[in-house]
Formats: sequence, C-alpha cells, structure tokens
Amino acid sequence: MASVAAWLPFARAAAIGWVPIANNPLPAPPIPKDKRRADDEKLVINVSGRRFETWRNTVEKYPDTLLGSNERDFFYDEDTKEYFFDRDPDIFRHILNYYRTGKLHYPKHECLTSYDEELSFFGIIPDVIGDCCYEDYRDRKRENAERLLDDKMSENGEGNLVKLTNLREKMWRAFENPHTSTAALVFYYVTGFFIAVSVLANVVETVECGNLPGKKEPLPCGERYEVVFFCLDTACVMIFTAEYLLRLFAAPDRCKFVRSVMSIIDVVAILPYYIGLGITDNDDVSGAFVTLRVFRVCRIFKFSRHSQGLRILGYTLKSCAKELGFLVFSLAMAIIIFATVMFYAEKKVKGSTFTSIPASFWYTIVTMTTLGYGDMVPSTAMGKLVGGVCSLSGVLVIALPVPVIVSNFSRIYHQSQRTDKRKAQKKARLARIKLAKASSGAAFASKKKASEARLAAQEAGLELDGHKEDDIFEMQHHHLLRCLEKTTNLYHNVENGHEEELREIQIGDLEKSTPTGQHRVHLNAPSGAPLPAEGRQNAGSLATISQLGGGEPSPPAADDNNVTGYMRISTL
Amino acid sequence: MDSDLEEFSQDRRYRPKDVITLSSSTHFSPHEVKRIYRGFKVECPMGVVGEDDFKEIYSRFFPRQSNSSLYAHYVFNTFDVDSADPVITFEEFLKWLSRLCRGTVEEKLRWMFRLYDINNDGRITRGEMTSVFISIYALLGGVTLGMLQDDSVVSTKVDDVFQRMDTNRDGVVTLDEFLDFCSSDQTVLHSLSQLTTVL
Repeated sequence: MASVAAWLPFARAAAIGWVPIANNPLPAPPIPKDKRRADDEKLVINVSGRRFETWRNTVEKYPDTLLGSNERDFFYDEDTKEYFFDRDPDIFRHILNYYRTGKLHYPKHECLTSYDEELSFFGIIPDVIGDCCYEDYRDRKRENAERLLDDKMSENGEGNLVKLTNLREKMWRAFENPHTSTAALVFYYVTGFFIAVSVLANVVETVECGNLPGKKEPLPCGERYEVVFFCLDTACVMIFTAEYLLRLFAAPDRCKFVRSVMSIIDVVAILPYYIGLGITDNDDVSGAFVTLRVFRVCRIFKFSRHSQGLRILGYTLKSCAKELGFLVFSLAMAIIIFATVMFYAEKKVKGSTFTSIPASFWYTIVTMTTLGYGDMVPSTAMGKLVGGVCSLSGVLVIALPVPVIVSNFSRIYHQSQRTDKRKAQKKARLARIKLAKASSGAAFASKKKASEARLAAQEAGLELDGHKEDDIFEMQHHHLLRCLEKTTNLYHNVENGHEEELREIQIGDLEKSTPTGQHRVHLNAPSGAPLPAEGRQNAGSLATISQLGGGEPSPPAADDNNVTGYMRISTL
Repeated sequence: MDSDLEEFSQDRRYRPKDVITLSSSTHFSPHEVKRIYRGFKVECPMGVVGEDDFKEIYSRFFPRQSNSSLYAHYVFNTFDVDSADPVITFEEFLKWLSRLCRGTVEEKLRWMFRLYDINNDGRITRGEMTSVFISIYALLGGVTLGMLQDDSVVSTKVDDVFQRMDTNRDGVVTLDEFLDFCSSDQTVLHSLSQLTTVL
C-alpha cells in the first residue's frame, strides 16, 4: 500500500535483522531505470473552476478508483496541464480528503443521491465511509429507499385504474380505496353510519328511562323499549354481516383476509348476536349471554377502517411493543415490591384494610398512578413513609417510556402526512413538468424548421445573409431526424400491413453525413404504436428514437438529449 | 467521565530541529529529510511515534494475518527511548534510518546486535536469539507464536547460528564475537548490501 510509502525505507532498514537467519544471500534489489522521482510531483485537479493540488502519491494510494488509476488520463487537458472534471467542487473536497487522510466523511448538509453519484463517478464504494459518518449515511439511505418504495407502491396502486374488469377485483378495490368510485364512497359512509348507530344504541340502552306504570324502580331503556332496540341491533348486524361476506368474496387472498386483524374485529362484532339468537332464555347460560354482549363494544374498532389516525395509533402501539413491555414489567416489579412492604408495615394495625399482599396491590397501583382513591390508607408511620416513596417512584416509572412512544407516534404520523401531501401534489407536479418538457420540445422543433428553411434556401442557390452559424451538432441532429422522416415515410407507405415485427433498415442517408460508414438502426414497431422512449443505451448498436407519428414532419418533444448524445458519439 | 475525556487531549507536541541541522548530522540530503519528515508527520501528527502507532505502521507492510507486533516491539526497543515516556522523536528516527540506510557496515551490525540483545546487557543469549527468530518467522503469517516455539525448525537454526557465532563457547554472544562473525561471513555482508533503499 502506497499510503505508508514514506515509511518503506525504514521497514527495509529494519529488515537487516533478518540477515543472520538467511542461509543464502538475499535477492538483488530493483534498480529504477531513471532517477526521476515521480512521487515528488504535484497534480493539479480542476473541478469546475476550483483548483485542487495534491501530491501524485496521495491520489495513487487507492489504485482502484478513478483518480488513482490511469482512468484519470481521460480527463487530462494538455493545454492547461491539469485534470479537469465538470463535477461538484464541494463534494469533491470530501473525496480528495479521503485520499489524503484515508477517511471518507459524509457531509450532513449534502443530498444523499448527489453524494452517491459523485462517489460512483470517482469509483469509490460507499462502504469506506468512516465510522463517524457511516450511521448517518445509512439512516438517510434507508429513509430515501423507504420513500421511493412508498412512492412506487402508491403509483402501482393507483396506476392500475384502467385494467380491472373482473367484478371481484373491482369490488375489492372499492372496499380498499373508497375514493375510487361513488358507489364505494356511499358504501363507506353507510357502514360508518351504522357503526355509529350501533354503538350509540349499545350505550343508550343502559340509561334509565323512567318508570313503567306499576313498577317501583326505573327501568333502563333497553328493557323498556326492548323490541325497538332488538330491531336496531338486527338491522346493524345484517349490514355488518353483508359487508363481511362481500369483503370475503372480493378478497384476492381469502386465507390472508380471514387472518387479518380487521376481519377478526368484524367477526367478533357480529358473533354475539348470532350466539344470542341461538341461546334460549335458559337461566344457566343467560349469564354467559350477558358477558357476550360486552363484545358488542368491539364494533367501535370497526371505525379504524374509516380513520387513519386510529390506524396510526394501532401501528404505533405495535411498533412500541418493546417500550410498552418494559413499562408493564417495571410497573409490575414496583407494585410487588411496594405492596409487600406495605402489607408487612400495616399488618399489625387493628382493622387495617391491607388484608393481604394482593389486596395491597390495589393500593400500590392507585398510589403509583397518583389516583389516590382513599379507600385504603396507611396508618403507621412506616406505612406512610412507604406510601410516599411509592407515589414518587410511580411518577418516574410511568414518565420514562412515554416519550419514546410519543416520539414514535409523531414520526409515523408525520410520515403518513407527508406521503398524503406528496400524493396530492404529485399530479400537479407531473403536469407542470410535462408542460416544461413540451415547451423545450417546441423550441427544438422551431429550430429545426428554421434550419430546414436555411438548407432549402442554400440548395435553391439563394444568398444567405449574415446569420448565426449553427452548431455543427445541432445541424447534424436535425439532418438525422429529416433522414428518419424520409425513410419512415417510405416505410410507412410500403410496409403498412406488417405489424409488430422488428425491421432492420439501412438509413442510407446517414451514410453520406457520417464518416464512420453504415449504421444499422433497429426501429421497433410500425407507424402507429409508440416506441419506447429510453435513451442512454449502447449507442453503437441500438438507437431507440421516440416515435414519429406517421407522416408528421415535426419530431416529438422528449428525448432530444438522448438522441443528441447518440449523434455526438457517431460523428467522432 | 470528565477525567476520561481529559486523556484524549495530549499536550505533547514535538517539533524537530531545522532541516539543515538534521541533514548535516545524518547522511541525508535536505531534500530527502523533507520528504521523510512529510511522511512521518502524516502518520504521527504529534511529531512522535508511540509503540502502538509504530506497531500499526509496521504491520501494514506485511500480510494481513501476520503477527508483526513482536518484531516491531524488538525494533522499537533498539531506539533510545526515555522509559518514562517511550516515544520515538523524529530526530531519533532519522538518526537510525540514516545509519541503517546509508551507514557503514559496522553501524548496521551494531544495530543488529542491539536488536538481538533484548535486555540490553551487552550479550545475546540463546533465549534472546530464539525469541527474535520466532518473531521474524511470525512476520509472514500462517503460524502462531505457540506453534513456532514448539517447532524444531527455529531451535535448530538457533543452534546452528549460535554455534558459529559463539567462538569461546560460553553460551552467550558478545558484541565483539558478533561483529567478528558477521564481518567475516560473506553471506551476511552481501545480504546487507541488498537491503539499501532508493529514496
């Protein structure tokens, strides 16, 4: 490694100690052919105008990178005797420091993707980033990747709007995204309404309604208007059952759907009703029946389909399971400790409420959460002391995991907000970008027309008066497209019948303009279909040019850069 | 915690004498002294080399899995270091480098003697020589120190060399015996000349 080249003479000198071991004489040392010492030479690297100077030794430390290998010769400018790179000088500073100090740092204020691009240009792998900056780099990279994944997923989700013809798939999409059609929206609001009604009915039926004639005590509404509530309940359960069955039908993966949380909640919401129907007024099981009615309150969880905030809350709790577990565990420990001490402290007192350790649990819980009902109160001095310590520690223990949960919730909530905002703005952004591209395409088209007019005038022998000399590349670019038009016009007329076959055509016109001889250009698809508009492919064999519509003389808007790129290489 | 953080700030910063003085006291030209110092300073910004840094730098010249720290330790001990603060200053470094690269044969042999005489008592015992030989074999890697100690290759070699050097058969090799032996042995002299370095 050349990084310690300065110390090599010393290592060689220290090797004298090996001499007594050697039985045979050591091999002869290498002799340099000329005495010129290359490592005293300084390199000048000009990055977009900012000059960096360094020893040649420094950059040759890492021979597998661009600067360390002879790949840098491609960027050498003989006139100014320096290496010129048309890149970002601020980021280059960090790259050069890597050579100097052996540590690559990641500046926090730089965008991750631009930094990555510079690294890949200069042939440095991101794994050599020093420990001081590596964590930060990895976090940002993960964030970026997540965001891209999010975007892509949402794109896929909304991009398939056209293709679904299956009733089942349409229904599923309607269930999952209520905004896709009016029927879905109606369904969404109707189910929401019925959930609310059901929950309200459950609540109201326990309220006292006033006296029936002939009875002493006031009855709860549930018993007074029993039939009304029963009908309401039936209606709600009908709706919920129908909804569940429809979802089950529409689900693409039924097993997965049945195991999902929402479907379990649905089932638990409607099951008590059916079980209640099955049970008669038998006294033995009516107690169980009453218990089952409690499960009706699960209907309130059905609201989580309607509210994103609730979903986020559920997701947060799930992701903070560790902290919550810690909270519960530490609370349990503290409760047991304090209850035990309390019990033994208050044992001797006559008529004490602390009858056993489990009985003291209640006191400890009430004290630690600073509720202080006052139904159990210590009387001894020791007991009061312990009670005081208990309440103080309770505050601490509960306050510790809460910020973690809060910050998690905040992060997830803001993330989902950002995703929604991005989706909303996306359409507008894309429209504006399209507009900008179209205007640049229009500029190109007008330039092309102007140059054609000039060429026509030239051919006709007319005098051209002082006009700005066009860039040779621009002129050749226009010429290329004209050739293509001429060729495809012919092609269009003759080959009308043959669809979807690759044709190899020789663009004869191009032969005249380019000195490198024949070019074979593959044109995919016939006149009507759009060609794939990808650029930047190996220019030697394939040039995909975006579609020229039929016999129109004007070229398309996008992809000028790609075609220009191709042309530049072919005219070398 | 504060006292732990204090250890990080070392006030020791050593600046060597000027280039002309150093160049005149060694066999190096001023240009060479400058180049050597620049390389020295990159690795040791404080101007001095501690034993750990020394070992680390030395280990870079050898294959990854080799154990060069033992040999590096012996080399480190050949320098004149203050036992209270064992670091090598640049002048010390330059002095020995000059002797080893450009010095006379006798200077080089004297350094070799210092290397083998681990405890600096003026005599090389069999045990000292075995230790140094083991450390040299360990430089290439692939064997552990324990294996080398048990191996008979090293001990036979030690016996062989000791036999040739110890002319009065007293079990130790003194400086004179060492110098006599090496000056007369053609292999040794030839090998010494192969290890010069173009700077």
